[in-house]
Amino acid sequence: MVLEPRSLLVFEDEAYHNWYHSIEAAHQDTVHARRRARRRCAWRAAASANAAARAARQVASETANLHLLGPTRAAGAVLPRGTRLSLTFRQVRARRAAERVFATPAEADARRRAASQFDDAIFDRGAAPR
Amino acid sequence: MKQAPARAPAVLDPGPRAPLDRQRHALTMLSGAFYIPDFVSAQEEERILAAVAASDEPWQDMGMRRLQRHGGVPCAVEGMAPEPFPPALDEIRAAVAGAGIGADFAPDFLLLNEYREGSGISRHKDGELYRGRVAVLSLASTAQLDFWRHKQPREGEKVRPGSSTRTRRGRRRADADGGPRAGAA
Repeated sequence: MVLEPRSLLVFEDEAYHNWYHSIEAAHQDTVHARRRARRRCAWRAAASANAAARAARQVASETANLHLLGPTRAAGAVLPRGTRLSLTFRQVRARRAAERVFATPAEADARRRAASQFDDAIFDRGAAPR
Repeated sequence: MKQAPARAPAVLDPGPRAPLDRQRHALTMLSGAFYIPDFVSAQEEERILAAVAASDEPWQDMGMRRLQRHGGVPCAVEGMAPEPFPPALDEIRAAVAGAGIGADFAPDFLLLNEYREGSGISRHKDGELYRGRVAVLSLASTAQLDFWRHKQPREGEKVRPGSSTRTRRGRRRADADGGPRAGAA
């Protein structure tokens, strides 16, 4: 799917628990048409071994929100990437009473750093230079 | 936590916002995923970006992206002690909470991610620290988000350690050690 600026993506249930998600490191993305014939897939798969493996894992190279995208983002459109800001809102399972307000900025910062472990398993990738 | 005195909205326009419509906003092929275009206006987007740029909240550098956390430090064992959001971000939190996503959806944690041009993020799930629901506001650039079915890793493909484990139909084991789990989307 394509995330447009100013959009809100919501996912839950099946999409939250049974699917992984990722963003490929790339300088641009292409909007994909709805997948129709098997033949197209076969052609795509034959393009390269990599693409074949990817097509199989990804289930379908179809832009799943094509029908909700703006008019400039029809099938076939190529979308250059820029700096992107995302705001991810979640609700934690476990909460406890609020702590005292941190005495110093350093203390607050140390607290934030303690959270870094949660992101250690996520590896960032940059696209190859143009 | 005591709320700061009410102040004039800084980044979002007052007034109603088109709520989530689970039919109209549904994705094809993937159940449980919804997409609301134009959740914020171009003017609102500009003000949000300016507010984030002007804020002195520290970023954590992750290489190709950098991030801020707001709302507290999630922890499976001790629980998260809620911390107040910066006012501009709290406006957005309130708008998302009021977006008709669910009466039981009261987001209290925000991950702010700034992706550099060309960067991506590896395959992950958002995990068990959170109730199984997430809302992601995208700003400033498009990006393609790929979804990958969890089941049956292929030959030579390893499921990432720390990914959640299905134990029983419809029930999942919570991560008791609070290990690597939270992700970004």
